[in-house]
Amino acid sequence: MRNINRLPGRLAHTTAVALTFVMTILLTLTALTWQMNNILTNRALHGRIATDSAITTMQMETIEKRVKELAEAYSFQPETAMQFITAESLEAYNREAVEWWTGLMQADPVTTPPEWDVSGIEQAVREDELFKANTAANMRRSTARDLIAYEIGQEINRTVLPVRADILAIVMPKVLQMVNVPAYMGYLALAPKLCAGASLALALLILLVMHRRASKAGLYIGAGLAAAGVCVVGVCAALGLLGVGGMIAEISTLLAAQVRLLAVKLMLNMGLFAALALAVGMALIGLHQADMRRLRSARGAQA
Amino acid sequence: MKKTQTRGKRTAWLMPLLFALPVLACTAVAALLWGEKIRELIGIAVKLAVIS
Repeated sequence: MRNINRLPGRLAHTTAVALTFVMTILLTLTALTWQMNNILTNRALHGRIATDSAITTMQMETIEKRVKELAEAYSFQPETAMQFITAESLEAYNREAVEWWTGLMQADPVTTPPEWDVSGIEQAVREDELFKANTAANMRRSTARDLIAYEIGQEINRTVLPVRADILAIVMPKVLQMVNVPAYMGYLALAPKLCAGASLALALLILLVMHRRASKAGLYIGAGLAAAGVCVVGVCAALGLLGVGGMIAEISTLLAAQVRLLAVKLMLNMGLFAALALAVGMALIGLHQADMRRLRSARGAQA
Repeated sequence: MKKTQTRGKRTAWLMPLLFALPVLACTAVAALLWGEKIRELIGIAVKLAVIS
């Protein structure tokens, strides 16, 4: 492994420092682009968050509250409507919503969000005995359709997708005209792999520059890895200070709960990356230190 | 052991900080220069897009 004849000189060490610095930046970018990719394109992740049992429970409670308000106002049994709104059907609708909004950044997106089918609720309310007893026959159809079923549908849509879909429907086509978003999504998907590959290439260069002395190269590569771990923690702290979760929580508790789950997942991923990078980095530095200690002891014994 | 020898031993463990500090310093400067503006823009986007 060792190029025995020549020890790395000042130029080799300076080059190794420069390469390590670039490697630190690239490794930090690997972690950041990996998570950006997760946020923007990972449908499975968003699907798991949207169908989390705590989220579904919160959504059911919000919808049930509105159904009870309408039941009191228009005299029908809340169970008549609620039988159509189960946890399973809500989870399926959540998955549809995730498919829709993650598809907004693809080519030819569907700008109209999915809507809950309220025809079953309308029919069931019209046949509800309490409703029939308290509503004039000529008013039953319009009341059930426009004042009850429509309102319940709107509440479900707002609960599952607490965003102004009409604004997105206007803004997204304009953005897609100005910027080639699908192409940039493609580059973003490649970015973590490219950064990681470039970091590996730099590590190999450092090994060459150190004249294939594994211990010395390990010192610089280890320092770069550990530095990347520290940088990832620092950047995450800076992003956390933006307080996006707090801003959303002021407006929508339901969306804030989902954002919080997403943030926890992303922070766990970043924490794992940082911990691994730090551990491997410090281990490589430790190996170098052990090697140097051994050399110093050998020289001391010779002297 | 001479001071130079012990100093050399300690420096190796601190090398990660040597490489991390410029990146962290840039992040801190960017946060100070543009942090408020970014928060403001995100706040506007959230108020526009999210239904209460």
